[in-house]
Amino acid sequence: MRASSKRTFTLFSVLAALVALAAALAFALSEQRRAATDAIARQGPALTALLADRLVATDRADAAARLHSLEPMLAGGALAYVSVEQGGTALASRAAPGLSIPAAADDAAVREFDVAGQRLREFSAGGADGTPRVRSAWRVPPLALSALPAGQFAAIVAPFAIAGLCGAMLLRRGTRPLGRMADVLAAAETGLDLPAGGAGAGADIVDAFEHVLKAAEQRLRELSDRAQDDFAHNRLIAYQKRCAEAALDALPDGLVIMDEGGVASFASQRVESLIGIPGEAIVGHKPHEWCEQPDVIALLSRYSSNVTRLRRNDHLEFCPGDDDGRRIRVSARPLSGGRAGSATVVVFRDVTHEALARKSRDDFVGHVAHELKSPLNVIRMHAEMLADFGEELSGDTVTSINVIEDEVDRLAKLIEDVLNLTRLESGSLVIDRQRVKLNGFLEDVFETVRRAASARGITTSLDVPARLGSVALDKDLFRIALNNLLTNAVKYNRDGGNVSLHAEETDESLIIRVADTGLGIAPEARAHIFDKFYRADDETAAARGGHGLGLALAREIVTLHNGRLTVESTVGEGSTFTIELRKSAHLLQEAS
Amino acid sequence: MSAHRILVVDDEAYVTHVLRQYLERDGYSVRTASNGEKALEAAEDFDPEVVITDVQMPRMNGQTLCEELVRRRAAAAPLLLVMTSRTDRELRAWAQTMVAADFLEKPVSPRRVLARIAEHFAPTEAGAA
Repeated sequence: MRASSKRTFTLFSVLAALVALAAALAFALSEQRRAATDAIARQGPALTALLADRLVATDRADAAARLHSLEPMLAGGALAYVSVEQGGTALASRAAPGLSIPAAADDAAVREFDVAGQRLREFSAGGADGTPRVRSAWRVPPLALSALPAGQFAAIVAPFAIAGLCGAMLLRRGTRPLGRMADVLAAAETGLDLPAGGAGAGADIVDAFEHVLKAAEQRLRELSDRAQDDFAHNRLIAYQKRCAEAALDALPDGLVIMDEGGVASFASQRVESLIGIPGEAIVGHKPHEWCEQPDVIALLSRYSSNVTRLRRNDHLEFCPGDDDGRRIRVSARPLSGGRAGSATVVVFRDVTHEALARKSRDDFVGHVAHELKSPLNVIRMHAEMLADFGEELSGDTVTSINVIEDEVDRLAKLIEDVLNLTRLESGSLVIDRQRVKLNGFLEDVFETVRRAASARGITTSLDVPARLGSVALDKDLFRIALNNLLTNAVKYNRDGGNVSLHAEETDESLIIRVADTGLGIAPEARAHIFDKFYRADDETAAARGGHGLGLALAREIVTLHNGRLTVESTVGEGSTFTIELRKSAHLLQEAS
Repeated sequence: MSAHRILVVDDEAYVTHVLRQYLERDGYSVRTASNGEKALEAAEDFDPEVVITDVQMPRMNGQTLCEELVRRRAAAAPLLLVMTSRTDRELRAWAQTMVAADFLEKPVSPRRVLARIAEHFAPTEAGAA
């Protein structure tokens, strides 16, 4: 197919060139002939009339002389003959060599005829009223190549030939892809029954065109199908996107998605009703551009920073805009496992009801605590007064009064711990860190325990370096935690034992140790001592009083400070509780 | 030397009774009141040097009483000892704004109250101790 097509094509090109050449030649020749005919038409009648006008009647000599002057024209080939006649007899005549003058026709001014294979055009003038009649005949040039001068011929033909060739080449080049496509299609569709070479090059071309057309049609159909598929697919995607957005909008929570640079790429409709900022104001912007809450900006900006590595999702509560008592919790969660530089999902949730419920529970617990403590206060005061103002008391009475005082203190402590633990767990007690000089703070806390220890003959030792750094602490809470540890160290100690408070600073953390020389904690109990209301199954320990909340509260508080509270213990030798506080930048930033 | 004047304010009569016993035994001049309003009236002519007060009381609570006393007496305001069972932050934050206010955590030990007052009136002795 390919070879035959090539052949056909070459043939076609040559034919086209020849046709062009022939056309050019024909055009040139006809032009040449037309020019000659025009010359005859101009010169013939003019010359003939001139002769007829000048010739003197019956003067043969004059006629002969005049005709003689025309000799060069006769020799030049254009003029065939000239004859002068009067009254049917010839006065004079001149003819090109080998040419006989035909008889005159009647009165015809112009006539054309062939003589000896030569086309002649004859003009006649005069002849009226006895005047001589002049006839001149001119050769009409034949349509012949020889009539054309070689230079002119070349000038005419060459451009046509070149143009024809160029045209053919261009045509060939232009149709090459077509031929190739035909080849490819033919190769691809070998099954198709094509007429063999017999049909010739034209058939190949037609086949090729048919293929091209078929292929084009097929392709168009495919494209149309695909476009329809794509359209349907896009519609489906758009539909699903709308569904997803509608679902997100229907959620009670508001959602904002931030890219790794902190620029919001999506905000659900709920966001506006929750925080009063329309989605358009959020999308395409960074937190500080749309948010007015400094805390929230600080929280969200952490997720667009490249420096921090975030270990967990973070959240906080705030009151949006108008002081209508609504509380919104905002939480942020990086999409790719806490790696910085990834997109972040920010969720806004209305926690007004939760906050109210929490508050009412806290209020209730607070109220109960107060109502319990008031009678305890009275009991305590009266017990003391009984001891101090009564008459001489028996030993048993004094002991009883002491028991009452101790139990009142224990109950008051329990109430206080329940109150604090409830608040911490519900999150209503927000940790309030301030920069605290640790050595002064530790000495202060230790002082209150020292008194209780000395009452039982327990020695105390304080080992706190004077140049201990300051740290960000919630003083009130941390005092409770430390106090619980120190109180336990005294309570579960042996008489004449020792309680020590030791602190040290490393590059990364501050370590506080509370050690006692008491009963120690059995290994199986160690795992549970931080559980609420856990009491070691130990008669001696149970007899010491306590309520099982002290350590749970202490650990809760230390954890809130991003610290760790651990215990080491040897039964019969004593226990050491260790608080480790990281001196992380995070911690320091928050305190400043 | 005339006795130091102490005003005890609590709606709980058992409390005022005990504190009066202890304070009078130690030679102080004592007045009691059952709420803030009565305490303010008493303070007018009694001019206490120390006021021991509860927080939650009818009519006028301890916080308002303290604020009123500070407002009326300015620099001559008495030492304020506030007996409270609430250790929450607002109360502590409030105490920070009060000059010369101190907390007595409930249950209150009368012995410790006496010690605190003795310390107040004998700063040099306390400093030497």
